[in-house]
Amino acid sequence: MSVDTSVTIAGIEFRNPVIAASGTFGFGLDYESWEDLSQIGGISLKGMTPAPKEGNPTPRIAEVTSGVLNSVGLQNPGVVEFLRKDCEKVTALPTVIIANVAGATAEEYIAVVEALDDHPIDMYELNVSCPNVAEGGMGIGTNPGAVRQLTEAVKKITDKPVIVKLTPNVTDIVAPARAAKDGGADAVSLINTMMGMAIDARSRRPVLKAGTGGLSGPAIKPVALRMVWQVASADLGIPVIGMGGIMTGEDAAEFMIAGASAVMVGTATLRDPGATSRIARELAEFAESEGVSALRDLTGTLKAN
Amino acid sequence: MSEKSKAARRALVCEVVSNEKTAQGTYHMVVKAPEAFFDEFVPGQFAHIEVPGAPQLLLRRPLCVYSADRERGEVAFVYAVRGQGTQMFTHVRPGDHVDSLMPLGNGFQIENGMKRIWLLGGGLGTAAVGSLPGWYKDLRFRLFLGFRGSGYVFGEELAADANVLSVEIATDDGTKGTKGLVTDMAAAYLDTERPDAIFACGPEGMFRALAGDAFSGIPIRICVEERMGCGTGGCETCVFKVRGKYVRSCTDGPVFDLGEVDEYVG
Repeated sequence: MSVDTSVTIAGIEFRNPVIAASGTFGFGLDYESWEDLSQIGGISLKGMTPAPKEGNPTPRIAEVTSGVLNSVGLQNPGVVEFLRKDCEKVTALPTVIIANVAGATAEEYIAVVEALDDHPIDMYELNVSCPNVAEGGMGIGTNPGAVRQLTEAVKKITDKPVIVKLTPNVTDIVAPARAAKDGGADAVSLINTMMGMAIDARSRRPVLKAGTGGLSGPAIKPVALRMVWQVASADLGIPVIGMGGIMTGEDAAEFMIAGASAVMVGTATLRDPGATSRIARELAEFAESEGVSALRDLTGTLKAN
Repeated sequence: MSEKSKAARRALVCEVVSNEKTAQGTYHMVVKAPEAFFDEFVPGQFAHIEVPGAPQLLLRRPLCVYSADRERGEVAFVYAVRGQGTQMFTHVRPGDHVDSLMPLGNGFQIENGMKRIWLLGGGLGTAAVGSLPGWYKDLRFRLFLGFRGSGYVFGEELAADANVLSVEIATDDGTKGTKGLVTDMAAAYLDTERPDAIFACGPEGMFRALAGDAFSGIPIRICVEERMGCGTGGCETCVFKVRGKYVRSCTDGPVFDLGEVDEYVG
């Protein structure tokens, strides 16, 4: 039996539901040699701001048990440089391209979308969830009103599908998800990183130069699964893209069962540059072993105890 | 990158030949590597290795390639025990396997006119420059290696290479070789000989000293160390500032022209 791996989200067809997450894959160009990009569902590009952003001082990474803390701080060349140098090559890559958009203010998000809109980017993902920037990012995502306003403003200026990427650093994940939906979002993706910290007991200093950072990897999977399930159960009527510590096809299946229509893979790539296509393959194998003929049939099939 | 390397690269699962203590807190691991590794390798490149048997330690550890022997099909790493991951490397036995992404990074480029090169190693930094004499048999090398004390010294065996003019040792405490800094020892030697280039790896203090007047006019390439994530250019955590911009030490480095590194030269 050959499993049908294709999924459609907001009218965009993905050959499979496994997408490389933003911030772990650059613009995809460095991964052409490590990964068969014709075997992955899509790439969410490194978050872009209107002007170049330098990012935080190092150390920007700390390993913790079953997880990684990062404080990169959205280093990116800015949308103008992206258009000049990388856009043509990136949009020619054999997979769905999602532009992750960041900014300190709504105007900045709009500026990035406006700059990109005439180019063959397939979708946008609004980063209202980065914990490593002083303004914008998580500052918006923790405020449902701001999420709705920003989503509305972006939806006004583009016809392309808009995904809103949610932060877990909230007490109620359904509120910002609903706000995104109310603002016109075509999908939500969750979770971004959880705010965390690592301390060196002998130097008595935080390991990350910035102090705190975003936790990702298997350590957050239980929280991510719970939040995906909560958002999916709220029946908002828009697809959910799930992420948070997916290392294997079975992990990906768990997210789909919880309600996700697709998944994103980030930290796994830090260990295995071919993780995204491997997980896609494992997910199809899992489905086959379970007698599931189409991956989309996994979505939202969690049974109550 | 050459056309050949555009094909899908993947992690190499390498059989361990040996893994022995070589100095205090310092280990020398030899693994078998395929022909393709030697086709790509440039001295100064590194290997990004999974901690065996520890899935809860997600990140690979970057280890310097200390020697690459194409005839024997063997690659050696020298590493120090710094934390949990490197501690676990010390338990690896011959016959075990390690999962390694390699070779990574840019390596030391030999430019026209670089015939006589000084290699400076500061402590574990010696591991980054050790592969050069064995790889470039037509070039001449003089090694200046500095360590905390005699117990930490490694790399003296490189003196046996026909193209190694000498190996000079300096120790902080004077228990072996010259007492004092390896950069002072090298600077003094400049009265006798002027190298075409200096390739160095060591602590920040060494790079600052190399940026000083004593070495002015000599092309200097340094191999830096930053906490690393993916090792393949995707996560932007291992950045290092060169000419005012953060660049990735795993992909744009780890070797840089000292003259372009703001922190040491500015």
